[in-house]
Amino acid sequence: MSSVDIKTPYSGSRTPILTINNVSKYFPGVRALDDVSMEYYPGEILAILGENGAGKSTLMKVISGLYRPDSGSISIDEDWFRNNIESGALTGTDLVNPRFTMELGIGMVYQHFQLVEPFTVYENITLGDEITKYGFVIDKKASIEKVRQISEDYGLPIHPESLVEDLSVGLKQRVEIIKQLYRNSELLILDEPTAVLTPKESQELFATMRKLREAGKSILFITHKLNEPLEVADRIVVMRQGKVVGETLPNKASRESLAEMVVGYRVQRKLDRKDLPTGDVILKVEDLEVIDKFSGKNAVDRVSFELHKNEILGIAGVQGNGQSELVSSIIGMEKIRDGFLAMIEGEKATVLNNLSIMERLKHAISYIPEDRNKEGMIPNFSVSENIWLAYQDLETDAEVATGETQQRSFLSMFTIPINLLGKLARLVIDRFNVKTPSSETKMKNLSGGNQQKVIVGREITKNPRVLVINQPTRGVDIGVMQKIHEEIIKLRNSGTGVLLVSSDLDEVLTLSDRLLVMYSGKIVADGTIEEIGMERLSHLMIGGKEGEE
Amino acid sequence: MSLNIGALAADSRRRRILVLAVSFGLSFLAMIILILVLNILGTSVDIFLVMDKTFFEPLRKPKMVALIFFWTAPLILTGLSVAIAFKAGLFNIGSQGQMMVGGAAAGIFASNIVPKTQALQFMNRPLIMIPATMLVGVLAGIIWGGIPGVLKAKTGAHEVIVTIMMNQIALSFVRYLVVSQTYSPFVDKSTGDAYGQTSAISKSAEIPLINSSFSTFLDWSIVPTILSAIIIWYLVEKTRYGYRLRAVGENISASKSSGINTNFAIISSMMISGGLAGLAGALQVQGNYHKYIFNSEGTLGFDGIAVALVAGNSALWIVISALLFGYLKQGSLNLESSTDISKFLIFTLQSALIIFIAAPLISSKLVSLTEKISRPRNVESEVNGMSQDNGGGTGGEDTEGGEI
Amino acid sequence: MVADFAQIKKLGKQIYGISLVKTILSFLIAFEILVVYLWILSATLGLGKVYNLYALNIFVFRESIDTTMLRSTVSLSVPILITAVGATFNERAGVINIGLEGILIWSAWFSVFISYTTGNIWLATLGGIFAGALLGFFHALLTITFKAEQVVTGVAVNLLALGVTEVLNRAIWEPARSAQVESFSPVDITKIPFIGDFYSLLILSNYYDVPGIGGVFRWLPDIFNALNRHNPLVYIAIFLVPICHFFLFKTKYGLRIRVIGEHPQAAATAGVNVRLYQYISVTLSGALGGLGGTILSIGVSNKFISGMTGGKGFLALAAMIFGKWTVIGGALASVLFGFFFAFGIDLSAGGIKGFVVPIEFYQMIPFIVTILALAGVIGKARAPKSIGIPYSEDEE
Repeated sequence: MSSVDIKTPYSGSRTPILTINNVSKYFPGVRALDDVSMEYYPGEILAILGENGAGKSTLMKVISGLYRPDSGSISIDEDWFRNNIESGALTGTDLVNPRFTMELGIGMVYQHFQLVEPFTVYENITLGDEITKYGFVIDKKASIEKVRQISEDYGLPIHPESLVEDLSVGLKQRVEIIKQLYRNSELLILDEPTAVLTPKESQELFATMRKLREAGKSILFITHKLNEPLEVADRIVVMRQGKVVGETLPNKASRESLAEMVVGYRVQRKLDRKDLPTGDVILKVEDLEVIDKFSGKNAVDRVSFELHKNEILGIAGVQGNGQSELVSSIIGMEKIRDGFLAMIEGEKATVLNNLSIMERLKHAISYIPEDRNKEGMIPNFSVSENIWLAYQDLETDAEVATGETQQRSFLSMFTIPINLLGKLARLVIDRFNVKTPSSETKMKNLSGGNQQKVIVGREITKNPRVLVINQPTRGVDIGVMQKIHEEIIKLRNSGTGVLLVSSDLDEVLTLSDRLLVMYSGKIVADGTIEEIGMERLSHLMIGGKEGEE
Repeated sequence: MSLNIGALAADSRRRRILVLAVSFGLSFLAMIILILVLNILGTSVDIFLVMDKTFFEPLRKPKMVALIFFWTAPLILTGLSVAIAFKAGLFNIGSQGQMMVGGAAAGIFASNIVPKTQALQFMNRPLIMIPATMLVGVLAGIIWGGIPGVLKAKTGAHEVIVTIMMNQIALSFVRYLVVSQTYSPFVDKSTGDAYGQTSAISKSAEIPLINSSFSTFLDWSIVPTILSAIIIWYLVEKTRYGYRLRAVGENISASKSSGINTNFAIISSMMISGGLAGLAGALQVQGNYHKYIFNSEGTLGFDGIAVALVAGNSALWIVISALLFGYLKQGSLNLESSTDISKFLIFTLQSALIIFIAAPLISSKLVSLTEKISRPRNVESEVNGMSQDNGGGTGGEDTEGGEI
Repeated sequence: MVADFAQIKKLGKQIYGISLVKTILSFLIAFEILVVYLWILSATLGLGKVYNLYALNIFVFRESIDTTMLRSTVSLSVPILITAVGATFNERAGVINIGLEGILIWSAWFSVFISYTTGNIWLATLGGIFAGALLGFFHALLTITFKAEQVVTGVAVNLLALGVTEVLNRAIWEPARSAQVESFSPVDITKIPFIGDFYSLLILSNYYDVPGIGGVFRWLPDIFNALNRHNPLVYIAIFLVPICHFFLFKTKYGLRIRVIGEHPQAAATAGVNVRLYQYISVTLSGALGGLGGTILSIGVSNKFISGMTGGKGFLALAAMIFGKWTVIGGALASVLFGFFFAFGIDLSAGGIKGFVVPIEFYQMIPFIVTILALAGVIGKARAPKSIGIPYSEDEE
């Protein structure tokens, strides 16, 4: 779809101040940006909408100078920027590095705050361009005054002397915005600003954005939430898989039309989900509480649910609402503060709270962590050694999986069973189509997708009773995603209870038999998608209350 | 913090050897520069004399070559000591102190405790005394290495500083035991304060020479040494314990989440590390000096670091590496005895080597330059599939939230 | 009341960067541990009389405020102090430098060398500082540009410095020691008019007749005397402490350095040249360490002896950690370590009558305290968040 002829209500002229010309950016194995072209006009709020993986963040990083485009260019209207800034001559239109773009007047507010926690607000804001006496001594009074002045001028209340670590997420973001205003940014780019905000804070942010627009600033913001552009943007550009697929105005669009553009005409894969009666309860969680290390408050706030055999229970929710802590505490990486967690086997209930991780693994619980590089694999180890990570003291599982029985000898208690491991590695590699020269290749030489296949494969072949997965298909392409989904369903069909966490709502909905919706550490809904309904689901995910519109 | 010592992490064996060779070359160069500086400062140094005494003299006579083997044995053990801690991601600089307490304990045990205690006289025969004394040395080393291990596991106290402190404490403590004429019951009081040693150990604890007519330096302690190397190699590469150790050293998070008891790995590896160094100390006492002499360790503990790094922390390569450093050590002694140059010249070479191995970018950039000249790079493969040098898995795909 | 206390605490934190209350508490704990340690020693080694704990406390306390003790404390702690202050800079910038011991020994030797060849002690001082800065720069080069593992490099630098000084020393003089060289002579600071008047005020006997507090005032001249008649480098070093504190906490450069250690990315996106600041911090820390080494060799003594640094570089590191990565905290902790050293020397020279413990056990004290400090027994501390991680621009 090409650019629609749009009248932008807020610009005097129709000359764009920022033009993206056929920009492409590649990473190994991935086309992050594919011939993207866009125009940006002054004084408007432009929303760039797209799913995770659409290329929005990469585009922003290219604009801010953090990445260089592999082809194409970005041009800016120097005069427009120059008129708004007192600084000296800036030549060239290649946006070279963050400092340059900052001097130009383009301010990035990153999704992950670039704030130094133990320091004060004014220190964070003035960093790099400090207000000084005699040229090098920090003028605390003047700095505080300047921050206060900006804060008043734009209606963004903040205490300059507070420590950043004491601030709420919404206020931290405000500090980031003020930081850009301090540097006389004319164009503000906000990368997924509402990702970590509560609904109330999001509303406050939108109000701020409107205020800034009144004050003559231009805003570009990135989001994946369908409602936001409709609420606050003047113009909407939609991206999908590295391309621009559409452009529209809020008064001409609706959630449905946007959703169509964002998701595209994707064929819903048929998954072989047998219609099985839900089995018995296998994992019971009651009033579970897990502390968030940084804030001291509960990341998981009295959560209760049951996981059954033959069931995939999906946890839907925006990342950062306690899902990761919940899952980590089930496997034992995080401590449980209160409540209990138990495996139910027939008549017996085994409380897991105080068991070590290895002991839990011995109860046939498997875990696939969300950050494979940090927690899931050892890059310098071979593929088979990484597979062994899951099996270590669980001989019998390995034997069952491969159908081989090991000779038990005194020595075998201490040594690694090489033959068995070899067969195990072959099994995983073949069944999951892992592309690797050999089972002894180092894990780091595999592509991300193949790495994930090994990690998922080693856990699934164990045939666990409970499988806990966090982000099963992060950073993998469609083919790998499909394979992993198939295997998860197969596992579920054979009796396993699967607890699934994913920030990809599509994935959660496709795979799950039943859903839990998590918000701010609590479970706010528990049922099938038919019972909950899509509207209510999205509503609850962003923190809407029951009965609210 | 996983201990990613640059050169060791290089991918292909060929590359690793090249980088090592270049590092050696650069260190050698550094040594030459030092000699030149000496010349400038007025001490005339004949470079050829230096080279001859250091590198050729040790190989001239069989007796000289025997001396190389003499040094190799303790270097193997201290090298193993450092290496096994490295495998678990820990930097044990305490082998010096661990060797010291091991030697002192063994010396005191065999020279004072057993001979003077009536109840223990049954032990006073070679079959029991030799292994018993070795065991005492090992145990002392285990304790001295275990303490930093426990502190690291339980409190996160950085093992580098703690082991260095333990070295200093060992220095004082052993000094009290073996030098302090006034207070220590173990000192050989006949020699006077300056010499600091225990009295001779019981004959039953001595490890005999292999062939006294050939060399008065080569004794049978080479046997437990080589055995240790083989055992450690097997332990690290083939056993489940070794696997867990290596996993913890590579990625402690992933190890934890797969159920490995990381505390146990850390503590036990430090204990083994200390025990090996302690054994080195005991063997020196039993095989060579037949008593414990204060500070007889010289720099053997620190040399172990270089030995381990050059060998890439691999137990079997350590034997070769120890041979090399034994050779260098003997050369340095020759140098010192026949010129005005301190034996520390070789120590300097070793330290420069550690630097180049730890900062491989220097050497590897040189290697890359030569590679670039000989082989043009394939751009296409970088874009589409797996990149040559590092896994495509970390390239742009694994950003937070799956965003690209 | 409670609110005020919190205010005071926060104020203290703001002024000195550390919580005064916690620091004083840590010191008291350390002192008590020392006493208990001595008590255990005397009880187990069975030499001389065994005191009861309370009496021992009194003895140790009295012993500590003796003028000679205080003098030694000052001379012994200053080299550690200036090195610890230097270390604060590079750690705050996110670079670990374990090579402090190497910097100390190398600058100690080099300053002796310059004094030997030129006979000029001030030139020698500059030489020592330069030597330290050079080694610091070398470490920076290896860890920042070549991204070497910082800990390993630090250890290697230590060994390298040890090797090179031995080789050079032996070639020029003899193994393990140098000839005597020109060194600093003590300075009587009462000669400076302002301070001289202050001193004469102190020794006025009238104050001491005031009951109760009079006893306290009696110590003042003793303390002053302990601080007097040191070599001029000591005073320079002490003077540098508040300057460094001011620099690190009150100037924009100090702010940037501290930010780099916590969140280098935030500094980079704010346009700060991370590499440059890291280089400067590490080199500066080397220079300060160089001053420390110079004090050791030509300030307090007049020659170079092998091993004269005796672990002081590591103690400086521990002092910095103990002082929670602040300049003032590190300085105070260094004084504490100096005190332990001085205490050991004093006691083994027969300080407390009848209390017999072999000197080696005193020598161990600073090292044991360091280990306890690292293990968090004497107060937990948090390092700069991004320390030890080489910063590279292409990481997000």
